[in-house]
Amino acid sequence: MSGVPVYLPARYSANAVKRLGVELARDEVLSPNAQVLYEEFISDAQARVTAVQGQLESDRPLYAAVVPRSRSLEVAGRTKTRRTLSDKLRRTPGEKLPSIHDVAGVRLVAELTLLEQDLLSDMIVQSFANHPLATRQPKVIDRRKEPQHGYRALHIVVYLHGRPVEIQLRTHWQHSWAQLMELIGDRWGREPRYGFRIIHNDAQEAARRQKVVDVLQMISPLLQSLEEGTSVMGLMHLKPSAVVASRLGVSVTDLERLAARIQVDDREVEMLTQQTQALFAELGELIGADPHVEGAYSGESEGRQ
Amino acid sequence: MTHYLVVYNRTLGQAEVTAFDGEASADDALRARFAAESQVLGADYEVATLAADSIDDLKVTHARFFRGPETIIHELTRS
Repeated sequence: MSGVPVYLPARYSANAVKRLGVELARDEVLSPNAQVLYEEFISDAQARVTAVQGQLESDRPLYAAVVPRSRSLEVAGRTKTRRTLSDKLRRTPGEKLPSIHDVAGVRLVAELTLLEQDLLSDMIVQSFANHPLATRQPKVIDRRKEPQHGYRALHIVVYLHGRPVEIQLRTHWQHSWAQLMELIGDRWGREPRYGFRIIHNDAQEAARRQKVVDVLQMISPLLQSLEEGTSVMGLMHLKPSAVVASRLGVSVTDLERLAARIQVDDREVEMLTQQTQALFAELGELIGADPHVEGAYSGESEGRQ
Repeated sequence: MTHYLVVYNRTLGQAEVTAFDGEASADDALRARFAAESQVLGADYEVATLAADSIDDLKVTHARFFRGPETIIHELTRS
């Protein structure tokens, strides 16, 4: 895909979308007019996802030139499901549908250090700041610096014709943690994702489930330390270049000297790795104690049209 | 680019996936999504449309539709 803009926004008013949000929050069958608007609203979001994925795809050679490991980026776009839209609007009644910025989203996941993640983020920001359809500067939300109840990632909100698309850029560690929290939310309710305690009628079961959440929360800062401790190793995967030097605020010459002198404290990394692995093992045992989910994930079926 | 319709039961962790190829794959997947949403599936269900080069990409980016926490933890502790 050449990255040529093809996205034309649907025409509807912010007030009409606000009214749609009120209906979606009720989680009932939509009125005929609201259903038409809902389908237009989601189709418009899908068109933005397609446009952003196209741009990212055409930029991949540029990313790979600076961050070679970005060749293994896994990419998927999605529009927010009606279930999660309704849940979000009910959970935060003050939030209106037009202000939800992740109705259109693209997720990128790769084995990256924090430095490589920063470099990729810079390039994505630059690409969408100069995009012919951009009407606002991209906004970077760094959830590594300010984790959200343990959730860590880099989010880049880009705007096409004034409408947002949230690009989630995650390392493997950040992504695995996020997937585990989402799965716990699927199974036991989404309260922990927003900093609330697990709810269950049986106090003993509530305590067991909360323990799982607590252990997962303990893992998040360990992963942060592990990623920060090994980030300097990212230089080993990068060619000293002007882009990398600029990101680090040093000259290319200094960067070459720095890269040649890298010595990672293996003991520190080893200790953090062992602590993290021990907590993951504890988490596995705690979750494994849930009898009703055994084998539930064998149910995937796949068709093709 | 392939578009996918995923009908996912959160509690059971079961996903039914349908792939759509071709130029109209995004529209086809959305039509299938709206049709699935019009069925009364219950609060446990999520109906999602996703776009990726392959199902293997989706199995990474949206692992929760395909693998339980036990499997993910097993993979993390094995590495």
